[in-house]
Amino acid sequence: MFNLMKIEMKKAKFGGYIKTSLIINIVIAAFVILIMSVDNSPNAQAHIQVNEASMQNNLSAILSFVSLFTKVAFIVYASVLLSRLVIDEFRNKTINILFMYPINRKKLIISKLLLIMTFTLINIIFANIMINAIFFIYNSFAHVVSFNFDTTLIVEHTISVIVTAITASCISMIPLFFGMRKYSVPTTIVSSIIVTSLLSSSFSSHFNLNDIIFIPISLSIIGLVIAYLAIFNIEKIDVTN
Amino acid sequence: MTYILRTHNLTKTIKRKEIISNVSLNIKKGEIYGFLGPNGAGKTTIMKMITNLIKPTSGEIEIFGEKLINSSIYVLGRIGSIIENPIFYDKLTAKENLELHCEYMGYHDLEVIDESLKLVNLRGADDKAVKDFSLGMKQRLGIARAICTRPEFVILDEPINGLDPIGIKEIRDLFLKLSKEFGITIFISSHILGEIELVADTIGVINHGRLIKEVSMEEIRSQNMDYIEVKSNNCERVGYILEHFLSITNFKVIDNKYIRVYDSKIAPNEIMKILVMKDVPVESINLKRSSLEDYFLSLLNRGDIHV
Repeated sequence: MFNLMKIEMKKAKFGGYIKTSLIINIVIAAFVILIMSVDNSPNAQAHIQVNEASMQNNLSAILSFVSLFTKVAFIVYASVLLSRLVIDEFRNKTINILFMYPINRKKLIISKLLLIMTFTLINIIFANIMINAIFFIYNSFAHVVSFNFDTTLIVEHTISVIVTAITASCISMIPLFFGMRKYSVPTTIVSSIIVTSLLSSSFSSHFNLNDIIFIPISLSIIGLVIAYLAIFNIEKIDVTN
Repeated sequence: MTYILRTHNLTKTIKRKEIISNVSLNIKKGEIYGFLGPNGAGKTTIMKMITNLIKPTSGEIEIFGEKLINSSIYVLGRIGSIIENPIFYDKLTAKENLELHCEYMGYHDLEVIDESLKLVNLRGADDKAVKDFSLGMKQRLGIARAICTRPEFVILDEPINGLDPIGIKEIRDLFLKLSKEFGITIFISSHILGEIELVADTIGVINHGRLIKEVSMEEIRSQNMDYIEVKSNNCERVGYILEHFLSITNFKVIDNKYIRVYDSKIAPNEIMKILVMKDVPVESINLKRSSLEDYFLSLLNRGDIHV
């Protein structure tokens, strides 16, 4: 399985995708810095700086802001990968060649999906670390916002990022359902945008566990079911496209 | 006699239409099997069924002596194939495509890549992305891919499409080499009859999803005798002379212009000599050979007129 994933990475020239995700990270970091700078115009800042509680809110806002953005970006990015690695194989009929190899069809598809899910998971976790690091380093020079480092908050947030990353990597499988209907790349990407916009329609600086857990987990179960449906029948179908 | 591939009453129904009906093929080890049929006869569908891409509705396929089932995968490692069109990962180069193929096939001797590119005469172009290849080059690369892991059985669907005459000759020689030197069994479909005639040991003729005939080339050659064709504008007299002076009765007048002599014992120059002696105007005299094409057409016409 690991070997198949390695071949898959070689085939897709995966280095390019890693580079792209680094670029996405930098863009999000720039965006976060921009938003935070605008948000903290002198008047607002004067207000914010007064009390301790809102300073804590500042930290939490930044962290959840980054978490939200990376989640949205990398679920959509996963749909691009789905298009390249799965949908395009069917569209270009290269799946015919793949299915003529002495390899279990299920394994072939699972390795592709697993690769995308792992990549999304790592991407989201890494992006959170990288973007937050960029922001705090920038902030230590530019002093865009001020806040107190609160260890419990950061621990809490780290857990939430990991949960988000896991659920997001499962949710990223949902576009497969729409994309596989007619092997269409636009459908795949558009459906991923719709899914993320549904998922992230409400945003508050306070995160509570229910918010993080309930909807994402049910959606990620749907994602896993879709991924399962994509592979469970693959042994029996005719490849006639 | 060992068979590489046998199918028993293979049938495929798609949307209640029978595409393939009761096809029973028998391909012997080491031979080149030519699969003939007009467009849409079901050649590709049968090939896809053999490689497990399409599942038969009924009937069974026995390959390397084993029954092919949904989960048969190891058998696929012993087959090389091009089915339908030569398809590749377009953005990768020829070499990368073959490397991928070897990895998926579980074949780790990468020297075979250069070797097979050389066999199909595609060296020098191996660092170019496949999307810039012409059809002929893709076809060559497809053949290189099919043979590079040294499979025992090669399935090629219309492999000479898009090749130039020199390419066709090279590929034909390659097929004969593979068959004779490496003992690879080749299952090749085409509608270019002249080509099949030159390489095949056995042919199967298929039309409308039915196998009309499976026959060895030797048998066809023995069935279809050579004949001498005399072109003359006085056929009656030629016929008279043939009958009375050479005592040949096995001839046929066609269009009142040509006379075909099916007697193999007589040489054309003897006929020529006697006709000149008797002062009969002869426009031409030829030794002809009835080709696979005639045989093919007669087979198809017997069963069905619109082909």
